[in-house]
Amino acid sequence: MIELSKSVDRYVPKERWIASLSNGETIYDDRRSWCVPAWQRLAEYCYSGGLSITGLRVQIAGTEIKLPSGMDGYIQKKKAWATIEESGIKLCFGYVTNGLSLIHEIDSSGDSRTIRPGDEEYKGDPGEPWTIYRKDIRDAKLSLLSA
Amino acid sequence: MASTIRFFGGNGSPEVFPAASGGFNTVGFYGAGFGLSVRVGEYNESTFRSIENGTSNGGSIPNLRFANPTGAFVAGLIPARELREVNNFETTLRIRLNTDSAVATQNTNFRAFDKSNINKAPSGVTVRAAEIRKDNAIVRGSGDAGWTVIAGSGSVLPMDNRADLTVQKDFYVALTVSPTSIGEKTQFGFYWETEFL
Repeated sequence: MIELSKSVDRYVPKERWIASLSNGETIYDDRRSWCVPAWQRLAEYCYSGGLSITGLRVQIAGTEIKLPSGMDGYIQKKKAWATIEESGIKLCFGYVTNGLSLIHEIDSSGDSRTIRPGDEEYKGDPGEPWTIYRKDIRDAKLSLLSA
Repeated sequence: MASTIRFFGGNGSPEVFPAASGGFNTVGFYGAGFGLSVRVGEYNESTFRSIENGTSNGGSIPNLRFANPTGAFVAGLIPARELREVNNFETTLRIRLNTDSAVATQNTNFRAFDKSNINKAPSGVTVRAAEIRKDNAIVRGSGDAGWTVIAGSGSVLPMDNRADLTVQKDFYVALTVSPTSIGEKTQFGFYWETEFL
């Protein structure tokens, strides 16, 4: 059984992503230190249950950011950075559509930026496990691989 | 996701602390010994933990000196050694990432900057860097075969993805520095970043 938070329980942090699934469930980011990261478990849950993410929200720095629904895939990752003097972490989330990605980076102070095609730092769709694709996209990829 | 990133000498000691912690916050590159300068166009012969103006000795850090595009003098020894034959513990910096759950990492990179803007090149020095991945003394390493000149966002040192799921990862960076003009060089610092789930 894949452990996930389907409500705001003791494992759900204040700064979190919230995924809506095609079966109507809502899954929250969590901190189960004995498990692989929640996003990875969410991917396993979607793949094993034939599910798709239909929407993704992020709550951070006292605000909520909602991504468009029905995208080809959704992206989530953290970026840790450091100089010797200071360090920090940014929550990165975004989506994939038609092979292109758009990623928002936001830190706990609320500073944010968006990386989109054409930007110097744009690296395209990061792919799995960072991207969880919609079921029909996954199926199409599998068909291509088996052809 | 909580995470901490700490900088050490490649052999694990000493740790280079932020100044706010009251510690030695600088990696200082010197000539034949602490406080001695590196000649223009030549490379560091010793490395120490120090403070921003380089006047306090906070303990030595493993020294690597540029020998050729694929090799280094390790701890001052001759002949030079191929970078892939340099052991992790002989490396200038060990960067330790701790996370609160086991993660893999990607898009990891290391850069040198002017201490003000991570996108700007350091001033007055040429900085060469290489990733070292050799944790077994008798097995050839799998890190970089050659040095990369790093300068702000224009040239960064990309580091290998780590697919193994762990809560602690160590990254080893070899550094060698050469002044491009006479005088103390303080306008350069180091920045490291990585991504994980």
